[in-house]
Amino acid sequence: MNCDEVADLEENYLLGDLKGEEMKDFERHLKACINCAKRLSGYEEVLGTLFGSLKPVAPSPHVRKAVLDQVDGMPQGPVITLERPAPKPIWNRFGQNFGRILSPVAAVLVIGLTVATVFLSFQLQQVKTQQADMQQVLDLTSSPGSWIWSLTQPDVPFDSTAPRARMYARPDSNIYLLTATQLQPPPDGQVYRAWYTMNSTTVDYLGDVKPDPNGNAVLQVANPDHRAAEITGCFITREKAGSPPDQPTGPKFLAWKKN
Amino acid sequence: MDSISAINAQEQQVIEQLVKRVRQGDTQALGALYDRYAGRVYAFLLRAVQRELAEELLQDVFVALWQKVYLYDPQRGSFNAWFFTLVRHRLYDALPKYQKHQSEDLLSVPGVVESVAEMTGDQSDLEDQVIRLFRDEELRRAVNHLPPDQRQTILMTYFGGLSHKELAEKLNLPVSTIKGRARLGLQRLRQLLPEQS
Ligand SMILES: [Zn+2]
Repeated sequence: MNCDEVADLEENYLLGDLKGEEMKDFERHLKACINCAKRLSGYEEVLGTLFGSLKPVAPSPHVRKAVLDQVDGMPQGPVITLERPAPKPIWNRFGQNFGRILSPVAAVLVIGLTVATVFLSFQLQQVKTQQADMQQVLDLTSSPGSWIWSLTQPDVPFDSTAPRARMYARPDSNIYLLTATQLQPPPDGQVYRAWYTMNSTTVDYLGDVKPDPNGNAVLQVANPDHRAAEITGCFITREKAGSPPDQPTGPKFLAWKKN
Repeated sequence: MDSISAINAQEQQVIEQLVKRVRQGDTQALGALYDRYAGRVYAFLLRAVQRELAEELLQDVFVALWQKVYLYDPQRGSFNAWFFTLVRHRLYDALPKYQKHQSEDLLSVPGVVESVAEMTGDQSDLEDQVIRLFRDEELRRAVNHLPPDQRQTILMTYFGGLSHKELAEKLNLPVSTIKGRARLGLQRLRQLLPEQS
């Protein structure tokens, strides 16, 4: 959806008259386009001010009690840390002799792997999602049938402190999941955007990748048409904040490509 | 300076505190927000649907507030704006089911009967409606300052439970005209209303 289409539908959106995919497309554009988001929030403020000034009408007292009874013990939407069994530390599996047996080169490798494992488990534990979506995320990240694609900086040798990302996908899952770690905040006026390539030809916008203060980011995107098998590449670019997410313009910052 | 903005700023602070507590799972704070807002939400719902459904929706709205409050970001706008968007969306989600269930002509829904009667009325009816609907003098002046067709569209759609299409049919006008009026009305109000804190 581009800015014109959004402008055309904004009264419907304000009214609550958009449904399904149209609503999702609309909201996706708002997340990426500062201009449209600002205009819309200006209108929402006007309506909010009018709403704030409505003359109240007292409802029956039983409604208040019904609300409080209903929410009692009801979990609130968001932010549930995904619990995963912690991976067994590698040094236990190798036993006591590990220091003597392994050469320094292997030790470096093991440390590298350990660091990577810790990062992976860290990434997974950082995955925060709405409770309703939690099972989908668990299915996607823990099923042996899922694809996990690693996005790394192109043409840069392995560096354990470098930013990296993973994309989780499966043809029968309703979501894609992209996690990133060690991601510095984008330069002022820029955002990280994730894209995917279908059948080596079309490039589609996946979503904006917003690192938290620890450099971790999670992007969960609906995959309603189950076309994960056609994905041949996935990458992150830096784009001008507020620009419409039509096509990537920046160079590939992190990328994965099917061999 | 006893303007809406000053009161708003103070009220806004109290609301933010309550919202923060609701986010932390404090049901008492939800009760306090209910006490502040339920009357206005109910007044709004009653303009679109009958009492029984309005109360059902009222409950639904506050349960939704409990579940979705984490989505509210104070950096991006006021709680009023966010919450009223949620209320409108819940209403419009429920309306088709309700209308099908009732299998009645829309005109038999009480709030709408009144509204449609007012649509054919003259200027003073519209002004009356604004006076009955809103408390703040400053805001009533702003709404009354709108050209009548824009005022009517805002009152009938955003505050009357009618979709653009329904209002277009009632007035025998193209939907695009109604949408254009809604947009112009909002733009004009944005200029007329006091600056938000
Ligand atoms: Zn835009």
